[in-house]
Amino acid sequence: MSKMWEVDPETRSKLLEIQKTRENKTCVDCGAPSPQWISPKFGIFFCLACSGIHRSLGVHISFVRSATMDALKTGEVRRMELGGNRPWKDFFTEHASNKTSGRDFEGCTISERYDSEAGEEWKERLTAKVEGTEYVPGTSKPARAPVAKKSAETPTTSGRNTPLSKVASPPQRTASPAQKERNEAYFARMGNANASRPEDLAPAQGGKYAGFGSSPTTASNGGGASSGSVPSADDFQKDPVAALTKGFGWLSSTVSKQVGNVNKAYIQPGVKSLQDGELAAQAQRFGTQLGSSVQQGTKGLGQTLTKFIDPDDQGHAAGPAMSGTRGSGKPEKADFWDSFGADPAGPPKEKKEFWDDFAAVGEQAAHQQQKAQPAASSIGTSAMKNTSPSGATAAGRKEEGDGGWKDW
Amino acid sequence: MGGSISKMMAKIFGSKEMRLLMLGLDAAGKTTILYKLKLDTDVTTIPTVGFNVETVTYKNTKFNVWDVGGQDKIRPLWRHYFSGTQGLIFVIDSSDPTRLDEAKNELARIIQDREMKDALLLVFANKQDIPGAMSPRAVSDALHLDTMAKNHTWKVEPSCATTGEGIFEGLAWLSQNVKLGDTGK
Repeated sequence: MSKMWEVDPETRSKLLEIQKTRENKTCVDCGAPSPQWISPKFGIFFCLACSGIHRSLGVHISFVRSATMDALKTGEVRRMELGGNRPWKDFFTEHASNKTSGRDFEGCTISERYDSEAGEEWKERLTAKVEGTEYVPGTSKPARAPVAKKSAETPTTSGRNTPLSKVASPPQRTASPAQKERNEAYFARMGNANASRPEDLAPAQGGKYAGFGSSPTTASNGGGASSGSVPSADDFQKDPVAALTKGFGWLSSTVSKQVGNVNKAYIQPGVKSLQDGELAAQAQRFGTQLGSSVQQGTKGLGQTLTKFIDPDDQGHAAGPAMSGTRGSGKPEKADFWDSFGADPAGPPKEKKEFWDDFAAVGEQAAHQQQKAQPAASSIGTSAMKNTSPSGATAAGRKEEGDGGWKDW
Repeated sequence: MGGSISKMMAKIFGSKEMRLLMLGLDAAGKTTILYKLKLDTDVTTIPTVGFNVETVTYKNTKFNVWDVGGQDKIRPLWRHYFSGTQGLIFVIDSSDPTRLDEAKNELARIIQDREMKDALLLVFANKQDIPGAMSPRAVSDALHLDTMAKNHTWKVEPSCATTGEGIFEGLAWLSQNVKLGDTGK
């Protein structure tokens, strides 16, 4: 069926003939001229805009086809022939259910027109006419009732019948970061709501939306440790190194987002409008330059962050004496050791002498070991070990140091 | 030059890009899904004559989603969008069992194409909010996915495009299963 490029010419000419009759030359719902879309279920013609609303009603109510781009079955052509815009409008207005409630065709919304008792009966009658059988009233009643009830019960689905005005507002083309966050929050909310639903029910009955497939789904990485979020104060206390990495990850993602925006705003339009490569390439170069400069900026920021968090966090964990040890393996931090002894927030008076010496030894050790040590998780003790092989004096001081640790 | 730097950045920061093609019979809900993803609103769509393309970023993955119209006459044009597609989203109207056979034939034609042999297959059993909608299991049986798509990694995901249910799960599955490195560029 899909291999045909043209709709069967016979069908086409027949539809054109049908369109000349029974007010089929204007859209049944809004009166726009020469409608190109049809609902074979009702045997009516309507315009593109109204077809959208017809489609939103669901195929059980009105099934939309294109008069020019879809192949019609013989039965469907026959329905178009026997239906028609005018007969349907008249039928709707004359229908008993609408007369008693005082509704007329023009005063109803599209969903009221087609998702109605009159609509159901019209379709039944049309089927009977096409099949050449007698119309038996009442056959469709049981199918109608639950549909109406459902739409009344669940306001969430009422969005299907949204007015056309929503379409008229042009879709927002560029997604702002805020939009993305909102999206993710929304998805997370949706996921949580879904997780609490019973699995043994169908989704239409309030059950869980659960898919399946050819291969098992890999577990999504758990909860709060995702690299895309801003690290919290809690994270810093629990695991400073991980939090730092996370922080850097967050910064980087922010930057890459910015780069992405630049790409979207400046490069893409250029590429689109000028397939000519020269200007596009120039724009792209500009974009990457901007990107890398921003990246460097983040790197600097990340380092600042390290410096800022390091002493603070260590102070939390093991008191002020520990705060310098982090840099023991790193020669570039040696100057920190010098200033450390004079630090007013440093160790108590009686220990001061020891700390000064210790700092000096530490500095020596740091200079000796030009290779940077890998950061150990318990940094304080590793600093002690580093100093001990450097000389007997250092070993002696180590003993002293331990004693100092105990009563301090 | 610019391409290599941005690729390197993508590697460092763990972000990936994915080209998705969304196909299905007319009025299955392709455009509604696309704009639910993009704008988080339930838009009333008009039949797509041609295509829509939007970029949606979710977590670390940037999805380039192509949504091509599904009318009979424009279905032969689908194959022009196959090249470089990493994931196929095939949308089924679960409330329309009469056209499932037609959908099956179209899907078979797509995934048998040489250009689509490495693509992930995500089937949205859409319109689950409509009473009497077929279950995802029933949809998968009707499409004979286990035999037809035996050379593909596939998943059936129940969804409701107007509320957004199931769509996120589908995207997450795609991003978890995409093979890195072949961005089609």
